[in-house]
Amino acid sequence: MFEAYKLIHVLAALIWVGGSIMAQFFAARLSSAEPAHRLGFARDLRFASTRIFVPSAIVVFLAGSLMIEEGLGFEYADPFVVIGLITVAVSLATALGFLIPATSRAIKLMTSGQGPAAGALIRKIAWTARFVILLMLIAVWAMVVKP
Amino acid sequence: MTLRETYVLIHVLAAIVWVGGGTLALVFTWRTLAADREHRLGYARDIEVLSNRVFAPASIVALLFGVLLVLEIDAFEFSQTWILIGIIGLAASVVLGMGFFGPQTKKLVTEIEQNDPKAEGRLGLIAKVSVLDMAILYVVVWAMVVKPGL
Repeated sequence: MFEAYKLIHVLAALIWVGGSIMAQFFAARLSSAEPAHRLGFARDLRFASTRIFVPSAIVVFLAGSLMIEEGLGFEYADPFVVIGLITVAVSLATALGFLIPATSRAIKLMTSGQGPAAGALIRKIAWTARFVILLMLIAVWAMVVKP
Repeated sequence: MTLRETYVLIHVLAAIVWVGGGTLALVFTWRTLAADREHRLGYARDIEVLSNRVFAPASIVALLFGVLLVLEIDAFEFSQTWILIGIIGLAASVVLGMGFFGPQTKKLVTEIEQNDPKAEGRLGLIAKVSVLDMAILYVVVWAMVVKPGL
């Protein structure tokens, strides 16, 4: 069972972290994009956030917890586990509390023709997402090195 | 951090970008099938650039550091099943990237720019082959986690 939990944990983490990093690469190209492409990307990103990133983060947490419960020497108090738990908690809180609602607001601003206001909000979203990605990268380091 | 841990970290980070980014690109490609022309063109241009600047380097780094890990760790051998699956899978994905996705995406951008109706079918084909590509990479991830033959 441990291998199955580990496979699910790793796959969900790949999709969550790798998808979030890739979204930043896409977003970085938007500054010179047509308004219709910006709007389309914002809609795609909201879809990915709600249907892929948030569920993946929850799966990462659940499968990780099941790995610890298997009792192969891992404890919730282990520093690498604590770093992982903090990352999942902060990422989920940020996504649900700010990133997803703000993306929805940005889409509304774009569809109502308020491009500059939408642009300012998108910049805030991008910087917040980069902070969350930094946390994720620290968590990946912790999972590999297990301090 | 030991040399081994450094290699593992770089290998894992490259795999994260490649497999996770590829999954997001797959989802976006399928969504683009129902998108308007401007978003479709913007996305096709984005994926053409990011394939060369992100996916290709990430795949090379994942492969290179995987090889370095096998050379570094005595218990790992190139003849082991899980490593063979990894090398064959990564090679297949790289060949698909260079031999199919690169040229097809370039044609797609041109066709959308020229309002060529063939763009619709090409985008659908790219979306279907993307599913195959990601299935190959998921099998590689399974092999790396479960390590059959070790």
